Amino acid sequence: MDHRRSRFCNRNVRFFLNDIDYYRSRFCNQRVRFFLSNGVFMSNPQQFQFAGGSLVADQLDGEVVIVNLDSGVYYSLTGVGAPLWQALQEGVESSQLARQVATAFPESNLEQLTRVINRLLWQLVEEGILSQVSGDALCAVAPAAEDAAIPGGELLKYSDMQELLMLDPIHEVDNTGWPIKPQL
Amino acid sequence: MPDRCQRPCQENRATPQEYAETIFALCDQSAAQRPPPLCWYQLGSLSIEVRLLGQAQAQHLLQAMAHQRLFEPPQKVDYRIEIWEEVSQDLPFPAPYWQVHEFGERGELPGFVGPQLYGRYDLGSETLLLYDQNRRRALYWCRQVEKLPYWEFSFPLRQILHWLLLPTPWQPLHAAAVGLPEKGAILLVGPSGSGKSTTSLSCLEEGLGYVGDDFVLTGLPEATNPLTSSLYHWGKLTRDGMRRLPSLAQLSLPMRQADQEKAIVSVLDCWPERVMRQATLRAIMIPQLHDAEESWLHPSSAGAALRALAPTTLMTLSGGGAQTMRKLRALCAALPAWQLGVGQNPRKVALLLRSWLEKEHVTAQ
Repeated sequence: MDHRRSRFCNRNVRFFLNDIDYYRSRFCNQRVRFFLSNGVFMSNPQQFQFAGGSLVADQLDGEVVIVNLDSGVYYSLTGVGAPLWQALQEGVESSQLARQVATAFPESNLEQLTRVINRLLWQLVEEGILSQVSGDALCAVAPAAEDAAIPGGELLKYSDMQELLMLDPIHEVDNTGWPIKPQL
Repeated sequence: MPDRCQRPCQENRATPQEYAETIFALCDQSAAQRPPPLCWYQLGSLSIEVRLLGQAQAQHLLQAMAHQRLFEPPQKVDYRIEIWEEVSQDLPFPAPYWQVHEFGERGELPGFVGPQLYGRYDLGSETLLLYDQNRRRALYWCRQVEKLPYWEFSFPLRQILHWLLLPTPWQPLHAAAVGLPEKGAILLVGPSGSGKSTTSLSCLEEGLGYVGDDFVLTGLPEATNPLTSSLYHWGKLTRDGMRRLPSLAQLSLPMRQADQEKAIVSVLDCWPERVMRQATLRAIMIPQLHDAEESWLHPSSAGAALRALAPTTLMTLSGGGAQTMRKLRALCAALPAWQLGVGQNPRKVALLLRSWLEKEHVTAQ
């Protein structure tokens, strides 16, 4: 079992958490409540929303396809990524995501699943697909070798269509005000 | 070019609605002065009237759609498209009321991003495209038809058709389709260079029916199977395609431009009996070119089909992104998906698809 230590420190409270397979601890005072999930310490549960704008996405047959219409980059989520996406669309907060995804992948180890999910969340936020609306900032999560057993643990990114959008932006117009192609 | 466009004062800046109204009033004025030639087209279940304002010599712009042309006016016109060629007009066309920096990333006009008004300046072809959903009218403006790039003739009006079809069950796709009479059609999806044109033109050579090789119309009307309808009968051959299909390359049209990258084949002129105007879709296939001789088919997933179809369609046809994605998803959910390995022998891929269609037809019965 991996050793984990989590430290919470303010002027009044410090405690250490040792390796426990699964636990939840709640600390509540007038200002602070925190939930602890496997291996990830959060003082406030996070919630995310789809960034929208120039992004369009849809899910079909266990795959999520996300297209950035401005950049020409598109993405795919499969495996655990699909139920994760579904849970995010339903507004499930981060502390509950692993449990919800685990119902689709009951044979998965919850600790590994949590790590994979947090990694995917971080990738989705980094790519501008999700925006975080509340909670602590995400941290990058390094993949562990055993996480490869969890299907769909990476956000797949495709750039092969960017050339379709590699048009010169409009910045020249003729004397009537209509754009003209840049002179080579 | 004389400055015949009226530059409005920025203090009296028009609204998008006012600008659209001005444009279409001008179109009516032009039509009243010089009655324009009219063309009608049946696309899917919809009838479209095209007016060549100023008697623009633009018929050849629409040659690729000749197979869907109606020679009598339809009972009801669903949409009207105005074609305005600047050089053949005396009337001054309204200049843009917006600044150059206000054009969107893909030339979108400010305020023309739907759902009522869509507008875009396509820099590659130097054309202005406008659509008003309330009026069900569109505008295609160009400086001179003769100076349009060659590829504009092989799939004209595609952006406008995308806009006007947004609220309908029909959707233009960046896809190819081939089929057999009475047995239906196969949709070939994927980005440019994936083998759609090569596959569809290979099939054409081997006697299969041709719906299109670059853009086709698909529809999911209620209570019917998915349909595909042909938009353009011109096929395009890349250099690799010309190498694979030399007999087709010999039938290609004369090059319009010295730097033309692809050869154009007029299917209606070469094999009119093989043009399929409309067919029931049986499957989505995702072609992938490879170096081996043989072609093969493996089952794929609807999600993979969506991934092959959505990005390229969404990025070539601007506007209505989420709405379009929903239609694409519904189409992919309604059809079985296959991965198609396209080998070096064009005849074999055509035979593979022919036998699949014939077998599926028997199974469906």
